[in-house]
Parts: sequence; C-alpha cells; structure tokens
Amino acid sequence: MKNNCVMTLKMKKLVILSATLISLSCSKKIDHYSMADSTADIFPDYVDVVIPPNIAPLNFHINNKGTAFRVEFYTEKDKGFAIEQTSCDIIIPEHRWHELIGSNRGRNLFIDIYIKNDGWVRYKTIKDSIVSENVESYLAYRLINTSNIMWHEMGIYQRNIENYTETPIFRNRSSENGCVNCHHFNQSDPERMTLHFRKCFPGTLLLLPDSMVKLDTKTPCTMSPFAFAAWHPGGNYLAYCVNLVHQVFTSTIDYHHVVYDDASDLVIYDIQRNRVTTSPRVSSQNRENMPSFSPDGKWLYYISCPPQTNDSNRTFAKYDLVRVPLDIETNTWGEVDTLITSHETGKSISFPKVSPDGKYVMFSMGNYGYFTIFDKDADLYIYDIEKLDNRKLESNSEYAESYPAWSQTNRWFAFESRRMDNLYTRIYYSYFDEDGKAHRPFVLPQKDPLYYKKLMQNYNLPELLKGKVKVDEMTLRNFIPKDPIQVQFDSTIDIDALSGATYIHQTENSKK
Amino acid sequence: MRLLSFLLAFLIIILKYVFTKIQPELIFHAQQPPFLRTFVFFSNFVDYPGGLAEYTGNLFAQSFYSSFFGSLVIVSVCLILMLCTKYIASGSLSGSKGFLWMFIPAIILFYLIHDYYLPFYVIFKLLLAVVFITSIIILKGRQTLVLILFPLAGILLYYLAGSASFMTGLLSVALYFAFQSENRNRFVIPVIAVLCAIVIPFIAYTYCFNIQRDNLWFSFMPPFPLAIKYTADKMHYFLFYSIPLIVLVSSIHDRAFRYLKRAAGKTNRKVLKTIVEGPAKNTVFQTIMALVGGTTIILCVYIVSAGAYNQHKKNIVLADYYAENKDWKKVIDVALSDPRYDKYINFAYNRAIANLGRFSENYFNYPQLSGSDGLYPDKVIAAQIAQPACDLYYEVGYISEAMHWAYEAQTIRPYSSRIMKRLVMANLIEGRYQAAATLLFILKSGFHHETFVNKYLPYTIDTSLASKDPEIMEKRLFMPVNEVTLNDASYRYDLLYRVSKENRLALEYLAMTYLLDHKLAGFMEIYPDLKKVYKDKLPLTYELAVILYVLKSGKHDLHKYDLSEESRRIFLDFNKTLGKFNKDKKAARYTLQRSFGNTYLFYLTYLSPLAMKTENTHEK
Repeated sequence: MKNNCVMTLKMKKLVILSATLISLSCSKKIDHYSMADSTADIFPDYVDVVIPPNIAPLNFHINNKGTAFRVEFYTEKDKGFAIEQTSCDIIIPEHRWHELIGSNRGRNLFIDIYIKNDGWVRYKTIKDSIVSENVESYLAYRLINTSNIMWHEMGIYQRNIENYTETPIFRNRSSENGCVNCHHFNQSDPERMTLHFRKCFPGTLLLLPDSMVKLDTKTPCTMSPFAFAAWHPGGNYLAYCVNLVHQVFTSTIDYHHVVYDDASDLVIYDIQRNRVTTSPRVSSQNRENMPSFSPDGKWLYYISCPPQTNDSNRTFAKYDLVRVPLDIETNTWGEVDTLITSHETGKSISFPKVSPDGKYVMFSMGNYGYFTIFDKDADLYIYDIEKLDNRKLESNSEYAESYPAWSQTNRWFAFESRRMDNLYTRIYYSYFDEDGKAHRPFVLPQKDPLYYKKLMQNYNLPELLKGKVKVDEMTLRNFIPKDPIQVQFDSTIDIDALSGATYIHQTENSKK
Repeated sequence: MRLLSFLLAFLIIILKYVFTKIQPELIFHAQQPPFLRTFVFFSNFVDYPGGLAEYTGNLFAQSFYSSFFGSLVIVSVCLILMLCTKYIASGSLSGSKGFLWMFIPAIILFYLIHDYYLPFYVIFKLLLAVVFITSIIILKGRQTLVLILFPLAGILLYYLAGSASFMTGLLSVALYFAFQSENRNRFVIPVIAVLCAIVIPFIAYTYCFNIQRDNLWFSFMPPFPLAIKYTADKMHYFLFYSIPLIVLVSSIHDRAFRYLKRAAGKTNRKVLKTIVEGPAKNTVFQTIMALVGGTTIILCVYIVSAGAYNQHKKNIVLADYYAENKDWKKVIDVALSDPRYDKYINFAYNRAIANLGRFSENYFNYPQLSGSDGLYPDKVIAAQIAQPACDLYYEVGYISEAMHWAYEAQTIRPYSSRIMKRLVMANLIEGRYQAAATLLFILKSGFHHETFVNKYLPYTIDTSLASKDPEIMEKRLFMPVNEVTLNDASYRYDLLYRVSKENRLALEYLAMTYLLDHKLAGFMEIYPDLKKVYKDKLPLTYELAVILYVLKSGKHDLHKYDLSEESRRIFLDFNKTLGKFNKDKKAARYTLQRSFGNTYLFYLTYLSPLAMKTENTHEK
C-alpha cells in the first residue's frame, strides 16, 4: 500500500467529462480546513454499511456543492489512498480499492471527504465495516420496466459483483419480446438453473451441468404451467407452484397493485423421470405457493392461504408460513405444520427462503397477497426454526423490501428494495451476523455513481451465484425455439384423492 | 445554373409542404422519439445491428419538436440523399447526367414521411447505406484501397445501420462495379459482396448479437414498441430497393450509351450521332426537355402528396396533440371537421368538451359510436389505450389509475418524455417526492423539458410547494384512496364523486356513462346532484333522459321535474318525425339526423353500441 499518496484519478472514457484532476502528482494532505458537523451527502448512501471484502468499489456522487473534492479511504491499519478532483463523481480505482479492503478484513473502512468552496471543509468521517466473509461473486437478476399488464423489453442478467461486468443470460429481444421470468438456481450453483418463457416459445428451461432441456409443463392434471420454483438440494427435483394468477388495482398510495391466485398448488418435478407429482398435502383447497426446501431436503417450506370464498377474500388473501416433511425419493409426505399464521401477524407472508444452514427462514411480509414487491409496507422478517420465533429484520426501510436471497455462507443475503426513491426496485446486500442480526445494507455498486438515477428499470429476483452462468445468450436463443418435452403427470397419483384446487379446476375445465 | 435553381425550388417546395402540411411536431408527438444524454440510455443501442443508427436517428428526431427545425432536418436528409444518388447514378455532382435519378428516392421519402409513425431512424439507416455506396464509388479508381475498405466499411455499415441497409449497400456497390468498372474489381467486388452478404450477418447472428433469426438478412423493420403503429408497406421496401435499382438502370443506360457511341463512330448515320452527342446547347429542344423533366418531377410530387396525405390520420394525431397542449377548442374543431369516426378522436373530443365545461351540452355533437367506452378507454386492453386511459384518469382525478396506465404506456414506449411528465405529476400528487425527483432527473437529461423540470424539481426539495399548487391540490382532493379499482366505468366515476362532491367532471362522466349504457334509473339517482350543479337549467341531454325515464317507468309525473319547453318540444318532434316514417328507423334516419343528430335521442336510436347490437341480433 502506498502511504500518503494522492491517487490521480484515471478517468475512463464514459465517466462525466467535467471531472478533471487538479493534481497529477502526489499532493499533501489538506492541512487547513474547517470542520462540518455532518457527514457529506453522498449518493448512493454508503454510510455505516457493512461490506464484504470482495465487493466492487462503492463509487459515489457527492451532492454537496464544491469546486474541488478530496476523498481519503483508509482503515485503522492502513493509510489507504486519496482522490482529489474537480468532479463530484467519485470513481474509485478498482485495484486500489481491492488492495485496501481485501487486506483489511474485519476492520473499519473510513472515508474522509473534503469539499472546497472558498476554503476546504472537512466533513465527518464516514465509517463502514469490512467483514471477513466474502459474498458470492456473481448475482443474477431480471431487469424489467414497471408495469403490471404489458411488457416489452426485459432480460435476465448476471453481474460480477467484484467489478462492474454485467452480461446478459437471456434478453427477450430475440424471442419477440416474450416474457422471461422466475430464474432460480440450486444453492447458488450457476450450472443448475430453471427459467420460464411465456408467450413466445413458451416453456420451462432447465439448465443442468451437462445438458439443457425445455419442458412443456402444463399437464391435464395441473391448472397451469410451472411458476415459482425451488430446487431440491440434491439437484434432481424441483418444487414448483401451479396457479391461476390474477391481479387487481387499488387506489391505495404505494400499493396500487394486488396479485392473488384464484387457486394454486405445489408440485414436484422429477428431472430424471420427467414426471410431475404432488400430494393432497400441497394440492389442497388452500392456495399453496412459493416453495423453498430446507438444506437437507427433508422439509418443504411454502406459503398457504385459505381458498377463495368471495371477492374480498380472494383479493386480500393473507398467507401463512407452513412446512411439510417429505421424503422426496419415495414421495412420502408428512403432516403440514403451520409456523406463522396471518391471523397472528395480521399480515401476509411471501418469498420464504430457508438459510443454507437450515436455522432460519427469511421472508417478506406485507399487507396482502404474495407479490409484495410493490407493497410499501412489505418488510423482511426472519423466522428462527429452533426457537420458533420470528422478528423483523434490522435492514428494512420505510419502503418495500422483498425477495431475499441467501448467500451459501449464511452471512450475507441480497434482497429487493425500493428505499432509494420509492419508484424503482434495486438490489441491496445485508450482512447477517452469527447472532442473527442483519446490518445496514448497501446497494449493489455501479461504476457510474448516478446509475440508479438514470436507469428506468427494476431489478427483480436477485439470486446469488458462486460463479458465472457459462451458457451464453446465443446458445439459449438457439435453444428455446425448440419444441419442448411434455412433462408427464405421475400416474400413481390418485387424482380423485386430491381435494385440491388443481383437481377442482381440472374438473371445471373438462365440463367447459 | 438552371438545374441548381430547379433543385433549390424543389427543396423549397418540400420544405414548405413538410412545414405546413405534415408538421414534424406532430411526428414528434405521435412517436415520442426517445433520447437521453446518458450512457445508460446510449447503452441500450450498442449491442444489436442498427442500434447506433436508431440512437442517432432519435437524436435528429428531437428536432421535430419544432416543425421548422424538423422540416429543415427532413429537407437536409433529402438533399444528401439526392446528391449521393446523383453521384451514384452519374459519377459526378455537376452536370445534368443523373439529375432525374436523384429525385426518385427523394420522392419515395417524401411519400413515406406522410406516415406519422415512420421512425426517422429508418430514413437515417438508408442514408448511411447511401453514404457507404457513394464513398466506395468515389474511391473506385483506387483498386486496392477499395478492396480493403469495402468489406471493412460493410461490416461497419452492418453494425451501424442493420441488415437492410447493409444489403442495399452491398447490392448497389456490386452492381456498380459489375457494370461500370473496367478493372479487376469488376469481378472481385461482386464476389466480395456476395461473400460479405452471407458471412457477415451469419457471424453476427451466431457469435455477436442476440437478434431474431428473421432479422438476420433483411431487417427492414426494427422492433418497434407496441404503441408505434407503423407498418412497412411496399414504398418502404422500395425506398431501400430504389438505390440498387438506380445503379442497375443507370449502369445499363451507360453501357448502352457507350455501345451507341462506339457504333456512332463507325457509321455516318445522323440520328445515331445526334443521340450520342445530344442536342446542341441552349436550343429550344433542350429547353423543352428540361421543362418536361421539371414538370414530371413536380407532377410526381403533387401526385405523391395527393396520394399519401391522409387528413383523417393526421386528425387522429392532431386531436391528441392539441389535447396534450390543452388547446381544447382546436381539438373540437379537428373532431367536428372530420367526417370519419375514430375512437381516439372521440377520446380527445370528450376530454376537450369536459375541460371547456361544455360536456353535457356538446357531448353528442360528435358521434359517440363507442358508447360508454368513450369514457372508459381501458375496457378492452390494448397497447394503444394506455396513453388515452392515463390522460383521462389524470384529468378526472383518478390518480392511481393514471399512474397505472402511465407505467403501462412507459413500458411499451420507453423513455417517452410525455409519459414521464405525467408520472412526475402523479407522483407529486401522491406525495411520492423522491420518485418524482428521480423522474425529473431523467427528464433533465433529455431535451425540451427544462421549463417543466425547473418548475417541479423545487417541489421535491421543498414539499410545501406542492401544497400551494392548485392542480396538485385539486387532484389530491379528488383522488380516491384505499379503494379497489373495479372494472366498471360507472363504479369508478361514482367512487370519484363520492370522494369529492366538488369533482364535477366525475359527476358529469358518471351521468353520461349511465346514459350511454341506457341506465336511466342510475342516472335518476344522481339527478338531484345534477340539479344542484345546473341550478338554472339542466342541459338538454339530461332533460331528455328525464323525459325518457318518466315515460319508461310509467309514472307520468313529468310535472315534478322542472323541464324546459325546448326539451319537451325536441322529444315530441323527434317522435313525430319518426312517426311520419311509421317508426321505420332506417327510413327516418336521414331526416332525424339533420334535425336531431346531436341529441341523446338520436344516439339511443341509431348510434349506441347497445342499440346497434340489439338491432343486429334482431336482423340475424
């Protein structure tokens, strides 16, 4: 580490041109300055956050006006480096950053900001914490416009979070702008992915280590093609939801949109046998959705709410968190165990995710329904499986938080939040310590500090990945027009024995 | 000099026509060409062939915000296209050779710009192809350089302008060298062109770009947002094909001419020599030929403009344009001057009379063939209704629905500044200041909206400013909160009216929805409220509805209602006239239309979709 050295900022081509360096040589620290009584106003908000040692530089924009800016990065043990420039966009040199935070695990990162107007003003030091545990180096997400009925361009992307490289996994421009959704990976394994295509070349794509298959997942015995997915940890099975989804609009501020199911069930897909099976436990008259397996694969967690009886009940359904034991090899199901009821919380649970160590279930809880991404009141909660206790996480904001995704280290999770402007959903990372406390999160860093003020798309369904998804976009493009393989419904299941919605809807449809 | 004068005259005519008749600001309004000065926006255009031409085309299309600058840009493009075409056809910019050829693509272009939904970048893509062809032809004498540059520039053209321009460029250059070149490039260039045409798009598709297979070779149509209603017709394709066609025909002409020249040298035949050498300069014959040529071009322009100009299509855009600018009287003028019905004009007309406070009086001046759907655009969901639904709900104060439809509209028409502005207002009204600030920040990076941004950005910092804004405060007063939005127009307007009895527009819309749906009982429930609004005299439409209700209900208590003589007389006259035709509606239609065409009675009898539906069922 070069001590006391002022970095000359190497401005890259597409960074704001006005950023010119004052000093090209090493300059001394600023000796004469006055102190401000607050921290500088920076965007994104990277104050008091906890960061992993492998995260890309947290570039930021200084909102305070000034003619020159000096920013010093250092830790307790390392004098770090400084940037001095006329631009208020602080683009941190990647190698300097990685040198500093990589070698200072477990320490605090201090950021001193000096702003020059008539004279230099030093703002209060920003203190962030660097923890020891890395977070998965890749992140997958969907980028989509805000809309509820129509859609146009969208894509599933992956981002190397150690730098700023974003590559598309699949964008719908080659599939006549058909919908692509519900990407999901098995325990952060980039080689096992499920992804649905709707409207154009419809079907479910299964990416496996040695192969790729496209499935037609609608069977005469299930009410819809597969929707929300959960990989069984063994990698040979997936739980999916089948549902008849609807939405209504409301005039509630910050909650214009309620998604609900007329009916829904869970099914298990056996990859090797290409077979769909279910059980009366999860194909009941209740509406089951959002499956998530425990890491040992012996429990299936999901959400459930009573069947629709009238419009109000249907629209403003509130979901419980439940689980059911199962032996997936023998298709043996135990009794359903309700963990948290909406009756006791007064709210509706969604997106349950079991931690990789099996100790916790993280979920989102909002006012109604299970699609909490637009619900301002939706927050993240944690359920302690041993203590049978749940509580609101510390990393929530006053705006919508939803769709948590665990790191395989158990120490990190990513989630969606609208806290930045209550307009677009962005992805945040939060540190989850050994005591089960979530720390102040930080938004996924971008090279352009103002990127989130310019991007008119939402980040959707974050999934942490151990590595890069190797299959490229062209391969997927060429693959998805292929005819899908029809999945087979388990012939050993006695359909009449199912009292569930699937059966009811199947019968109704047959009558029609 | 004479040719130059003619060219100038031609361009001035086109400029005047485009400025006054086509009005590029209407193109801008119809298409909302997106452009933001941010890298995030730019990055949307870099990873597919033709993207950069679309980006640049959108940049130039920003000039259409002003009809004058838009016309200048169109005419400038026209001029470049013409000069390049002349050079391609004749190998020179001077002289009369190739003079007529250069008007062909210009006239096709002139035809195409009559379509308000033709994105400017389509033209820009062709322009890039033409510049490519011209550049290669300029360098034709430098054999080796051409051999190196041709495939490289071809790759660049493919990337910049997409496959259609690329194919146009390759074909034109190949034809040119095959016919015009005297050196080895005569054979080599066409071979390279064929190879490039096969290999470059194939490699690009297989290894570089995530594009549809259909767009591999001939992508004439970029993937438009759903709201853009442009479909390429024969003239669109002909615009691209016209360039290689001109190369082919002019080359054949040249060859034939050279052949004749050689033949003339070997013979003494006077006719042949005259053809080869041309008429003597400044002769009457030459003047006549010039006049014929000029007249033909002017005639072509006239025929094309007469054939392509569609006042009705223009009116659809114009009505919406005036509505957006709150020029309500002009909306009404446009609607009433158009003999053809259009539901989008209908939406604009309804908004116009509502905003002018002449809703119930003038409602049936425009044929309300959509019935209550004219006040409920989102009854049948389609991409094109997102914007009208957003506008209507905003005006009536249903902010959550305005916002919902604004987001839908934005999805299918990304980065539209018009929609962003609507979203800013909706978010300010709902008190979502941070959201409004983000949208204003994005708007700021575009063009033309400085005034709007400067006005509303302070609202996001000092939120008390919003509370002093009459528009925002009125909408806040009117907007329903914590209610489910049902798919029923009368429910929605009833809800709005229940939220605020001050919301007169909601009351009027509710009353009219009842009437349009023949729900007279529902109408009578709000009759007392209407009487409070219209203390002196109820509008004729409402009075006629009261008469109908009384008669249909059989209560015979018409005296209870303080109705005017006029409405009674109109009601009686209408029925008397119908009686004259023995209640034969078909026979009476023309007569009734003349006297009662703008009344609720005529609507009920002839125009209402419900009445038409019943009639059709009876006929079946």
